[in-house]
Amino acid sequence: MLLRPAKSRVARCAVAALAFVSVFFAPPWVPLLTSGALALRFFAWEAVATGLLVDVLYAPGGEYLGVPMPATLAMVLVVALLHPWRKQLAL
Amino acid sequence: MMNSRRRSSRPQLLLLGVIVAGVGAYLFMVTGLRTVVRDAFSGVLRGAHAASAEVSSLHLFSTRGALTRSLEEVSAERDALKAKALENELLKAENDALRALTRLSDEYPRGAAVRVLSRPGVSPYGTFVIGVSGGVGEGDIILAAPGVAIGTVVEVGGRTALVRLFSAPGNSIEARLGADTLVTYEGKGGGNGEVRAPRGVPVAVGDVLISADASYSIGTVAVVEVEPADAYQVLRFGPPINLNALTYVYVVAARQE
Repeated sequence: MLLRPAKSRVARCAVAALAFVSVFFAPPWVPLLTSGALALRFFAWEAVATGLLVDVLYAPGGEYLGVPMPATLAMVLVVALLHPWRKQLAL
Repeated sequence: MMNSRRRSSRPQLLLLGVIVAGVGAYLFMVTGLRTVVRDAFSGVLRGAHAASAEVSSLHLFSTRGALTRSLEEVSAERDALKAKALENELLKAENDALRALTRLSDEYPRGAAVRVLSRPGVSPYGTFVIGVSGGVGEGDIILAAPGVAIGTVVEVGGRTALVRLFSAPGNSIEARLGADTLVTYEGKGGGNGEVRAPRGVPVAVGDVLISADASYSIGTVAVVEVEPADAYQVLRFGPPINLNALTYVYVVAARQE
């Protein structure tokens, strides 16, 4: 365990808040990096929520509608890529 | 034992949550709910945009504040002059080469000024949010300065509208090089774009790319790349002005053909 549960929770909240807030004013790599950091340590639904927020706010709809990349990327990162890795390390 | 059961059921529950979120995301994408959410966040977007502009003007992260400030002033002045130059180039191009076009307007519209709610650099889709109070429709042209078009309105809500830049990744529009060369401008993201024009067309750095109906300038040629074996020349375009410094833009109603 890298951090004690209480500290771990605080760190999770802080990084999630940073990811969420950065959606509004920071370049796309900031929410990506913070969400990635969260997903590295936790099964982070916050990362998926952040990706969803990016899609809802900025993805063009109608004829320009495509795959919601940030939400999809977050889901793949959280569920498919990093979850087995975390299990392996018993994080 | 109990602990291990908790450990194994928790990811499954979260996975279920993620799937539900995915279905929710799909619904958001296909329905008009997104504009409702965007409207709800308009205050947050406006606050964040104002705060980031304020923070960057404070130079909190700069150790050489005075130098940075003067650099920014020079940069802002350069951007204003660039926009002015583009406007002048457009007028010159109109006078020199497009006089024969019947649809050429004597005076291009300036549009109505609206506030920018999010910086274009924030969105991975090459879009940004503007505040509207009615009178804006899908397909309306967005001008960064009079005569300089940067994108079109793609979604309109009650208080906000989403603008897609011409330079958005995967976007392509018809444009005109000189008097009679129709080309396709392809967005590459980050305010950059590209045009593949036949090699025979005389083009130089600084030439203006204008919209297909010859109403607005879209950008100036920054780089011309010619491969000896290629029948085409690749023209690269940079952002016409500093897109992240935009606080207001002009909305011009789309032309009814």
